[in-house]
Amino acid sequence: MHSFDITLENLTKMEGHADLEVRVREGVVEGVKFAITENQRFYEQAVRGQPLTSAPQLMSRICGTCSIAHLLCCIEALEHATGIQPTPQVQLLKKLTMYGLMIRDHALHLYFFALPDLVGKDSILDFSESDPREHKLLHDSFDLKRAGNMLSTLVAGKAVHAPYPTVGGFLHVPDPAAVAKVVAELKRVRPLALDLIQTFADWDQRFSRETEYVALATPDFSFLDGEVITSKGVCIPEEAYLDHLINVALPYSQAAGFEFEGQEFVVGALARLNLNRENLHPSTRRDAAEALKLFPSQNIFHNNVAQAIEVLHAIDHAVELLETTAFHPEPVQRPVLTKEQTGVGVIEAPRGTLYYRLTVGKNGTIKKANIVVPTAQNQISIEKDIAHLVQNALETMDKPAIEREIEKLIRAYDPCMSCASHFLKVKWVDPGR
Amino acid sequence: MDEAEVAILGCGPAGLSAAIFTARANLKTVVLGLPEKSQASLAMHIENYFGFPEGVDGPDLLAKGTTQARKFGASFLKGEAVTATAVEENGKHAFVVKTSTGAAVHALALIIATGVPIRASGIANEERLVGKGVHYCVSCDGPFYTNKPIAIIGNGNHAAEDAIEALSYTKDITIVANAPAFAFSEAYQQEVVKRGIKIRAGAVAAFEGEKWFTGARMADGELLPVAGVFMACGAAGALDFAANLGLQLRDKILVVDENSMTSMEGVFAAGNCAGRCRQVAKNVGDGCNAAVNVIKYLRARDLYLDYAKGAHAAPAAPPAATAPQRKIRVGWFSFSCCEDSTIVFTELLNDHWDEWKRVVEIPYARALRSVNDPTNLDIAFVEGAIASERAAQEVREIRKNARTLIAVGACAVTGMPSAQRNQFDEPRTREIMPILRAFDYSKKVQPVHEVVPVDDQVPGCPMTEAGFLAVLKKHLVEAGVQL
Repeated sequence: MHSFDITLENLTKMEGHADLEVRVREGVVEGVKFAITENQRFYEQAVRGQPLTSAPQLMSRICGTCSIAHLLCCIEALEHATGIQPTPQVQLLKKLTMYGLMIRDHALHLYFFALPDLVGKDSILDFSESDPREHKLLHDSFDLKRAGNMLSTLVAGKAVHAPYPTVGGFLHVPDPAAVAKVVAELKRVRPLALDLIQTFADWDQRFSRETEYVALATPDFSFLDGEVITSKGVCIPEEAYLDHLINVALPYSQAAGFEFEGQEFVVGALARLNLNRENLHPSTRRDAAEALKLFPSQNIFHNNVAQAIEVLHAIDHAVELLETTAFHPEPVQRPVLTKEQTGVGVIEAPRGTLYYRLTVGKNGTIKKANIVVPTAQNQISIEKDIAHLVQNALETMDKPAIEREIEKLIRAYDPCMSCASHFLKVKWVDPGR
Repeated sequence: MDEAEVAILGCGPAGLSAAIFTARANLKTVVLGLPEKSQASLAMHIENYFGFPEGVDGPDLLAKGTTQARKFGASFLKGEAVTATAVEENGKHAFVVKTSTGAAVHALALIIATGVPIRASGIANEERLVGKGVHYCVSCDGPFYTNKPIAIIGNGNHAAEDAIEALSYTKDITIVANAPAFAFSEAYQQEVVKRGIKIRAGAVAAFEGEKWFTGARMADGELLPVAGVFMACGAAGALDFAANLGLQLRDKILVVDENSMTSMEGVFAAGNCAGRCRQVAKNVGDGCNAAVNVIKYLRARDLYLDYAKGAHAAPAAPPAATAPQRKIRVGWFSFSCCEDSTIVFTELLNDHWDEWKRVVEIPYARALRSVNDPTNLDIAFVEGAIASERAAQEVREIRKNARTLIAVGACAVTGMPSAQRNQFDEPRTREIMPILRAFDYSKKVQPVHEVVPVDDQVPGCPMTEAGFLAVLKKHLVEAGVQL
């Protein structure tokens, strides 16, 4: 297997379908293969030769659910490559764009993918309209997602493949009348976010394993700028992040895995809350104080609680920014290139640290692209967690129960193919018992 | 028309148990059915039912249950329920149930406890030609036979009711008894004659046709050259109500959740028609569970009485019954793409779920379900381009299982941007070739229409919301569903 000579590092990263293979021999878990089976679309190759101004829109098509994260990370890398310093208003609009994404994306994961596990139903669409609690949760999901969409539409034009953000600025600034409506809606749904935090904080579902956590620590928890820090105290500038990652080829999977300095690690909301929770919005820290006591945590199911807290933070900070900013039109800065330049963009996407390294030629076209997505960084940790879970469960659970627990665990990570893990099929090579 | 808060269809152990609970909770409860048709009434001696160490005769048990339900205020209508129709009243569900005696009951919730049909038609090829000329629901499939000759198979009131309903589509109707004689009530007998519906006594030997139904062969050798038949044998059972109301079935059993609610809001099921073991004890428990959840349902819906005052809220006067709507089975499939249209679809649920849930069920959507059923779909939405032979085979299967296939999003409609590798230059193609070979990719990425026939499309990257809504509405209307 190790003689397999494909390097997946430069190939695109997918969300979509996944399979899992667990190998157990004589009561011992011998192997776990969490394989991304979605066909690749080769964006790192396709973007080569494209004008830098069109690259962000192309790259946003890597992923439908976190399209905005790819868009903004690509823009950041290109702005770094071309020496563009975003204006304060542009930086603020980027933060608001990320907040719209976080509200909608986390709500989708929490309500549509994770909550059925908590409630014990197959699908949120099966929630009983005659059960007051299930009825409320179903309709809360719609309200929170809608509020996130409204914010994204206000600031970025659309929630998926947003048209306004571009290299050097935004093509449109929010309309004041629309701002007021969105603020009112965000305030209206804020209690729903608090309920969501409580719902997942009360879920007594645990799986813990000692590992390392990595996240971009942003000073105002806005997911955009800062230094990459780890639970072991390492602090790395954004542009040096890739130097600490080791690509691990997984011949069975159509995506690579990564180790951080030779060890598996975890990125995402749990890592962010473990490492940077003191920078959450003051209102969030006040109203989610009880749930915040859960952190730092090694229980991967607290990733759900962390996401719910991030929804509240996104609402609180967005409301503050919208209420205190008078938006004004400003020109988009034009990139100037006198030679080939490379830029790095690192942001916190909903599922974790997203890395773009783009080289732009003197003629303004992309020469080289290297992208590391969160799910690839979590892949090895997911596999090791599954191995531990299965090993510990062999004596107490039957196979269907173990499979359900595995699916819950994978969904707690919220991999970018979380919809795929929702229909994960476990292939038992040998039960060995 | 009788007014009720709960109509219970069936008066076996499940129906009577439910009636005891709902009536005791001061819900106005009407039970419809014929006790002698209950399977429990055929049980001469039941020895395994809790609390009767000496055993109890089935008819005695039913009589005691009936007395108990009456004691709490339940009323009984003796007569078979022949149709159940959903109506909308101020945005909320209500139902109208018609009986074989010509009576009608208006209710805010239904409990179906009609058991499972005991009698099969015995007609050869019935199962093989289901959906290919053999049908069970005039409301659902009647429009396919506009101005064409059809037969209704059955000798009772249920058959007469179906024939009368079918007059909306065709005047050329024959009720075929599949029995030596007819057993219509006097009222139905008169209606059948008055409306010019033909009748034909005698048994049907077989339905003929290879791929499609071509006629009904009578036991005496005569071929009835009708274009289609609708089965209405014997008493109306759970399956008939399922077809009337568009309820979800699995293996001919009503699908219910743990609250005993079927796939339609306000319709609950209990007893043998809801599956699991066919025992009196279990069916009594089923009736209890359905009743308790009906009470919760009506409370949550604000339709129910004010308990504190102990008085019933008067149900609103029923409007004219609207046509029953079968739920359209929709599947959502994703291939090579970023699944942006899936995200748009999940966001459209925010504002359209309350509207869609009345008329649409989604048995296949991997983003939304762990348990998926890709069969017998009315509409399959397919997102993404086809990048491997495995994917091509999958989409061919989808095509076989779906009456209508709609490509959604740019990748499915045009192939792009997923198909960008088709245009790679030689160095880039060489670069990706190991992946293409290792994972059996196709040489070219294709839009869906190059692999299977596509009935409609929603372009856009992602699909446009307005485009999707327009296409969905168009196909629902074509299927006879009103949004």
